[in-house]
Amino acid sequence: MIIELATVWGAIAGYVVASVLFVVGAFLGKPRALDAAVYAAWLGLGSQVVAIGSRWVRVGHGPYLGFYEVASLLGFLSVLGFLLLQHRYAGLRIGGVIALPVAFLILGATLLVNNEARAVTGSLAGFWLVIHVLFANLAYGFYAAAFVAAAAYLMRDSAWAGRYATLLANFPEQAELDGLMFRIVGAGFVFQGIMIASGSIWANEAWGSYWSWDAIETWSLLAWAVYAIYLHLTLTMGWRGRRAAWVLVIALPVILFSLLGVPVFYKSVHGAYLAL
Amino acid sequence: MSAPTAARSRSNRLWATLRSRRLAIWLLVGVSGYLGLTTFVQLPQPFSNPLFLSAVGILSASTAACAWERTRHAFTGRASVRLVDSARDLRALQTPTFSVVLSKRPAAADVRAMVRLAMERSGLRTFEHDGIVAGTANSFGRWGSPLFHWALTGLFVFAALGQLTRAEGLMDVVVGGSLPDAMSSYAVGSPVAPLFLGRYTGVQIGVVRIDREHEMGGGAKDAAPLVTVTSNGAERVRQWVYPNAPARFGPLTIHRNDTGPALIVSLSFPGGQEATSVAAFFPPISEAGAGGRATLDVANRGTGAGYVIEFERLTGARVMVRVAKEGFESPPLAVGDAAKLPDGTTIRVENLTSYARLAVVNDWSLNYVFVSFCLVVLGAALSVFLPPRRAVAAIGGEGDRIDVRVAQRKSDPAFSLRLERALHQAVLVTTESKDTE
Repeated sequence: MIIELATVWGAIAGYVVASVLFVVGAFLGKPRALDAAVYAAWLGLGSQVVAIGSRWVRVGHGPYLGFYEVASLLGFLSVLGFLLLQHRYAGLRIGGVIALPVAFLILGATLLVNNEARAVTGSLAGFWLVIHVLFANLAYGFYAAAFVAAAAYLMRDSAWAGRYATLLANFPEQAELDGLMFRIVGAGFVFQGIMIASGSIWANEAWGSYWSWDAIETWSLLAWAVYAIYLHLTLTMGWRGRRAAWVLVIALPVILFSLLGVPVFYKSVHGAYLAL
Repeated sequence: MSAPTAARSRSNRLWATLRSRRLAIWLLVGVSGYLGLTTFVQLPQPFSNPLFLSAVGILSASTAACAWERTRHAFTGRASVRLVDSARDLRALQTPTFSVVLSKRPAAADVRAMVRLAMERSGLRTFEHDGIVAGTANSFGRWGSPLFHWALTGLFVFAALGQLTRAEGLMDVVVGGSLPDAMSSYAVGSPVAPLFLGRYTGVQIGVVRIDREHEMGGGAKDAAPLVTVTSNGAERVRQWVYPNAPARFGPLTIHRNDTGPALIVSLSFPGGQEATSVAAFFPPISEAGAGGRATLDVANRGTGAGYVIEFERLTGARVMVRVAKEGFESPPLAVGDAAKLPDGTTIRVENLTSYARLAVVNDWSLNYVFVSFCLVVLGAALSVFLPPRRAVAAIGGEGDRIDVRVAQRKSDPAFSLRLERALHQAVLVTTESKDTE
């Protein structure tokens, strides 16, 4: 328990330091600060690996149950995804200005909620839980990344571009960013499809009904439909660039409400698993 | 206009409307908006509302039309990848996606080598025909979109048919007993879809025993009944049923819903008639713990008078019998004991046992729905992760530039940019190496 708590704080500290360094590096044009920010993010991530691992050993299951565990996993995957992406596309390194503070806020929020371990019993026992939660996190993480890319695209496209020319100079070209948005959303769409499909098969096994129009199910479907609209607009109507980026910006509140708002405001069969 | 021509014109208009991209997008917007609305505004039966069902119906038809279009496109696209059509490629190259100007005029073979190098670095498999360099990749990916749309159509159709033809209900089965899959075995008011048309299978669903603390694979599964399904006298299924492990037979899926105590009694009426092994069910564990009362509606077979017998569980495997209408209350009865009711009927306690409440779903469409959904995801994955690519290039102008035409740009808009960069790089490297020589 002490190791878990200490390493969670270690991860938070790493993400805070990385956030500050990313801001300094990006806005003051200090490339060495950006390098240091990446190292700090890796250190924070390493600490979070230990935190998740020690809890896994202590409670006997992975980070799948309750807001505390699910949000921790989301924060972890967000940072991991960002670090891998910036390793592959160096121009995306600047995205740490958004990715790391978001991860820090997610992880910080987990400290405010009940972190008691929930037992994996009854309908929760089974591999569907792992698939369902993992792909939910992947999907929402990818959608968040698409938002970051869209926001960057729009920033550079707007009047702000001049003011933040140094910051934006490091980003990939607009056309490449546009393509990247599309590919990230496409991957998120597939992952969310796997999440919904595995959830419906699991619901049928556990509750005898594959779809109950539960508030969380309804909002997952809504979010999937919203990103289907984006894909349709880009693939069939030729929406690109600014207009397509705006769709992704508008889609973010849907995702946030689906992930955070619905469990808080609505009674749901998922409520027990996402309880605060 | 003649009648057949008018009909054809109408059907053409309908087809054009259904495959309209705008219609699909507006339907998705409408359905999404409605889904959001249902969580903020209390609507009666929001998901069986005719407006919602109509929108989903039109969306299904639009998806099917889209699937047809995309299949046709995939077939022609497949031909364009596999077959060499120089005339068509040359026509396409008249409007190149981009051109790379050459500072010198290298030999045609050198230019083609540069293009092949750039294409291969961009992940394309290359070949040449009539002075044109062509590169393709992920040709299989073009089937992703048709697969996605056909599977989505299937999902809509199977889910709708399933909802129209399914039945479900709760069945209380005493340990050691069985009940037929028939309407009379289910709780009154169990949902039956309008087109189910009484298609009960008639198989016997039995419960052999209940394990109160069942364990499987090291995990606690709570109370689990051992369920059997018998068809035409032969036992076809024998399985422990617990969450995530329902029993299946034909269109039936049998889930454990609950368990509880049951009382088996026999009744001897004053006229000499008898009713043996009559079950009375106490409320299930999840509703009443170990308490609660069971009731039995009885019609005296001699007098025809009806009344309700109430049973209360007492400690030490005993029950108390009451007939409220007559103000009757028996002393505590153990198994084997009997009591005489005010109308002369003798009630004998045969057994105090348990029952399993099983949730039985009769839905043939489940597997079709799940397979369709998996294919939807597979189709989307093929489209996203294996975007089909094709590019052709030829020497243009007066031998001083390379014209490149990139097809299927929508599914990977940045690809032409990457290819252009790779080509510039290849030209630069080749020119420098030639200069060095």
